[in-house]
Amino acid sequence: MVQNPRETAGSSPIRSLNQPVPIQVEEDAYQRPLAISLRRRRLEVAAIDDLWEIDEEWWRENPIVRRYYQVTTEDGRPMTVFRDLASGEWYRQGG
Amino acid sequence: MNIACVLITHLPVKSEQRRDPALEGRPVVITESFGSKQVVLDSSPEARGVTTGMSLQEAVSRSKDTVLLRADEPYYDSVFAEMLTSLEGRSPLVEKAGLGCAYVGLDGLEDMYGGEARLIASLLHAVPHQFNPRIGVATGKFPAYVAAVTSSGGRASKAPEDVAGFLKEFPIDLLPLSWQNKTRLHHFGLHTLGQLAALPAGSVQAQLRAEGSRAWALAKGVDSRPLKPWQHEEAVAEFLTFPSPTITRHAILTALATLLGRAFVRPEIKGRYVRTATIESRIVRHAPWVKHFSFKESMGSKERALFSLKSRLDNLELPGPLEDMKLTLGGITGESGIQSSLFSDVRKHEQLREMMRQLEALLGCKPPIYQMKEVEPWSRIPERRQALVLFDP
Repeated sequence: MVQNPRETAGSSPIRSLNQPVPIQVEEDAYQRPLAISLRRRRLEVAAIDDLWEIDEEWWRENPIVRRYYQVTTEDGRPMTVFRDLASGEWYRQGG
Repeated sequence: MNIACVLITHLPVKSEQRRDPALEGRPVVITESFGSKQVVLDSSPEARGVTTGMSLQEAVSRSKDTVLLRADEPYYDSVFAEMLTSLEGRSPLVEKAGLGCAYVGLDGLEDMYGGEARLIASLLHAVPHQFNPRIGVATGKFPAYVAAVTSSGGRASKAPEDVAGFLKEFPIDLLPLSWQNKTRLHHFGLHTLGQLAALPAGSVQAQLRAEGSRAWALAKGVDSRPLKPWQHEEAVAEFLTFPSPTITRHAILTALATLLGRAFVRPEIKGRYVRTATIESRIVRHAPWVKHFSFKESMGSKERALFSLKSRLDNLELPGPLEDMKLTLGGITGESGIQSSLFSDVRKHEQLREMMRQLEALLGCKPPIYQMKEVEPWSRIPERRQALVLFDP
């Protein structure tokens, strides 16, 4: 039998990967991304390649409602961004 | 026991002349490093007044227009090994007594060759003619050596039955004695083997101890030392020449990988393991660069051998750009596999745990080393799929 050490739990040894990073996005009237600001550089969205929505944990206080855009910027870089439909904030996401 | 001494005088010079025929007829002096000094290892007859052991400065002052060469001992060894192998084709009993001197057992071979003369002729032909071997035949090694010294190049001579009488006029310098003991004998006024043999054995032994007793017996023509067969190590060698002289680690490792690849597919090595690796390279105006490596455990593949050599070549300091590279793999073992641990996973974990303990001691806290783990790989929320977990082996 393992004894309970009765020690205070420390900080979590688990870190999430691919946490969303807040970004500045210029959007059009339909809330679609037009340009993305990355490290003080403005990159125009050349194409929206894909679009999808997730609506998870609707039973919780802060549900996860996001509209994802897979875009290609003017310099040819592919990027995944989403608009938090609850707060209206934009984020970039890897992974 | 009938023994032949095959003697090749000036083997280093003759080897260099074979490699570069333009050296023939020119005064050639080969030097080697002796501590911080350069001394003469060998010289051609054209380099008049130059003797072995002389300092380089003295040699240069005595012989003008001399071609100076740095000793390439691995090359001389390989040249002599070729001759020993060839002699082994004539007699099963060949002893390597030193560079350029070999003893060959003759008993029982005469009938096979149709007489002693034919047997000796066969031994002379075993050595390439430009090396001009001398052969001496006697019932012991020392009289055979003295007989070889007295014969001329490309010829053989036989010691008479009265060995003591044959030896008596020869100088004591031919004895296998230390330089100090030879000097002592000269100081006693003993210059010939006959003078030494005339003394009571006890007096010589009293002065020179065990060495003296053996020298006395040899001077009397008594040499019962048996032949010790040459034990040549099985080895595999591969060679390449660089397109241009190189000094970069990357080029050297690439060459090494190529040579290891070639060596490990050779039939002599295939399915077997090696214990040593020797890298030799020529460097312009320098002695050849030679590095010898012994593996902690025998290597059975190019990758493992290269991995081991790479780490050892990290702090490599080369004396100059390498012209070529010769790789010799030796210590070939009959193993065709290595017993792996039944609990290899346990062992790996122990090693990792020890590594983490060392890091913790070094940093004073838990080392910030994480391991990526799948958490909810099916999740539609990307940040929920994988997580970094503190590494704890």
